[in-house]
Amino acid sequence: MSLKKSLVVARWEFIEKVRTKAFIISLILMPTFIVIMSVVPSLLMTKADTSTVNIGIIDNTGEIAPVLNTNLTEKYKLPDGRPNYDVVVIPPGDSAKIEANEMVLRKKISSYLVVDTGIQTSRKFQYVSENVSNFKDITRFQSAVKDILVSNDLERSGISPAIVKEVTKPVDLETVRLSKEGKEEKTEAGSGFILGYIFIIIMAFFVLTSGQLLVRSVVEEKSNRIVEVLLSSTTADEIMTGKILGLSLLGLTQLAVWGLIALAFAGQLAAFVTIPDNIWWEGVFFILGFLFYSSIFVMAGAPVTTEQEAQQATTYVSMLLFLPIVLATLVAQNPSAGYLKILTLIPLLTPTMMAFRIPIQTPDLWELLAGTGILIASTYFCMIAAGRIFKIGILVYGKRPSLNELVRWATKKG
Amino acid sequence: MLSVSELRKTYGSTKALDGVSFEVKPGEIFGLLGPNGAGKTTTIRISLGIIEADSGTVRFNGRELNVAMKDHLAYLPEERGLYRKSKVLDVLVYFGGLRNIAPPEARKRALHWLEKFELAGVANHKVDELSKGMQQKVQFISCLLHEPELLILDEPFSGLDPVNQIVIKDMIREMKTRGKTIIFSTHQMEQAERLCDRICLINKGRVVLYGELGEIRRKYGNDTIHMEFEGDSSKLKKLSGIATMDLYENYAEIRTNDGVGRHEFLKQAVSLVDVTKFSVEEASLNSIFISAVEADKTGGENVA
Repeated sequence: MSLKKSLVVARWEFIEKVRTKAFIISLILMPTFIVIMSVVPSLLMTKADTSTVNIGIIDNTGEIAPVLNTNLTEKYKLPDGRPNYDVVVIPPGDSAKIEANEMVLRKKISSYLVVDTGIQTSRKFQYVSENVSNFKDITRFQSAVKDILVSNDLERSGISPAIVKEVTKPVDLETVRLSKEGKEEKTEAGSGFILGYIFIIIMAFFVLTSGQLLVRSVVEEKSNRIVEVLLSSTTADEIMTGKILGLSLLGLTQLAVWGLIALAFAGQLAAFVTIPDNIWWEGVFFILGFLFYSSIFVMAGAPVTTEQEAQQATTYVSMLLFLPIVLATLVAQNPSAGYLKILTLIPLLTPTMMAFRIPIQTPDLWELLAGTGILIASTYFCMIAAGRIFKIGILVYGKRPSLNELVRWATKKG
Repeated sequence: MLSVSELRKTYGSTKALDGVSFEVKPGEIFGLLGPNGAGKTTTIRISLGIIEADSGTVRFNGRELNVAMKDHLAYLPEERGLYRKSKVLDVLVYFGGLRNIAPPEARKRALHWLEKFELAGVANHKVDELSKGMQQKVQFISCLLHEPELLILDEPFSGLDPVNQIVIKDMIREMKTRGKTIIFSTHQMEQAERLCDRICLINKGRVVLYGELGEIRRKYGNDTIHMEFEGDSSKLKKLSGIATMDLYENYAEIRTNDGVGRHEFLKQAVSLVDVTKFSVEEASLNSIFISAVEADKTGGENVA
């Protein structure tokens, strides 16, 4: 096989595809997608407020509101040092709730609490807001009120206020991730999952874009018989190698652009995502995964004649890619479950499962090595099979071959 | 130059080629003729190494065809096209690259040919902005960049209007004067008749006629009746003593059975239609083609 002609094909595929609208769109679309899908929700969930939040309180006991105000303002500060919350006391009475609701709707306060007289024994109070899924605020208010009730109880049983203050001191939790090498890294809880998801989404998107480009270029060449001109100048293997090379180059360009965008946002990202030190394993599975899925796309795309069939073929292959993303939820539940190790060693799932597991909890070395081995072997066999299917498939017009025929082509030597 | 021998190829249960052999000599225009589905395209694809024969050999300049030789061949497939969304010059440079011509050189040659065919102005246009005739020329140019020794053209005239047919015909003749060897396939006998030095007629995967065009015609003799007439052509089917008849609305080419004289024939004919012109000459390639294919169908003797 002459690499020279493969390079000619690769150069052509690269230059022609880089100029397409679809590619340029994908360059911008993907980072936007990632930001929206992963960073934004986590930003919303954990990011500190930037201005003081007004919360109302209808305090029928008259004891809770003042203490709550001091506690909240002391404990929660905005990044610039101002208090995070300002407690607005709404005088209790028949029209108190109506007034409070009105204030929420007019955005005077973001939410309000209703404390009834029996709270010390009932241990119940209300939180009213337009949006009741603001877990950060809810947990804070809950624990603040609880602290007050506990101090009240303690003081009533004769314990000195100083001791009460001491025992109700807040507890801070710092999450630390232990790497395989025993190194401790401070991370935000859940950042591994975010990173894992980012990796598999990038991989899926990456494979899909190039896979679709690959299939479409084959369909175009078949429909106008250019494929015959190509085959009269070079061999099917060289064409296939060239196409995969060209598309890999395209993918690298994509990654480089995304990488630059990521760098630009590095400041913001760093707060949520810590790059694990085993990141290069991620690279190994990324590259192998790309080649493996590319060969599957070649197999699916070569026998196709029309755009419509191409759509179908790519859809089927895409489903194979998204299956692991569904399985990723299992990883999220228990990253070290035994059956995940077995799933990870199924070639079709290896690249994505590894990409997802590595940032969360590095798999054992034997798993990494076995995964690499299995993936190299299956990529090798898939490439050979893809080459054979490509060789026959690109000259087949019209009727789509059956699965049996595909298997026969793939196993036919020469 | 190119010699194929005993090519056989089966697709499923159909025999596409059943022992096809012929030889193409350097510098000639060789016509690969035959009806649709005769096996012309399969023969061409095997000759170019696009597909492999089940058995048989292809030799180029005396050696078995290999990948390196592909740089000396050019191929224009039937129903051809180009990358529609790409620029003319880019496509040409790419095709040159596939034949091992470095991009700067390919660019130079492409511009030269575009100039020659009055297409220099569209070098940077996208292919789908070009008229069909212009695209044909560009495709032809894509075959010439690497100065091939042998050009194989599959149905180069199909789907072309008369003006573009002339363009292609002139290009083929020009290639011949530049010392190239040309093989083209067609089922349009008139083009073959005017261009070819030698022909090979294939039917149902077998060679039924092969040799020098003049020789083949002589073999068919000087005794073919060419007749122009007015009147109901279907009446001529009543004629007796006819070996083959190629009948049109106002024209017929006829070979009579041995022993049937032309006077006798003419007498019969004038009683049926109004004969306006009557001559006895060599057979046209078209009627040779038809009678050879007919003879093959009825299991008659192969004229080759």
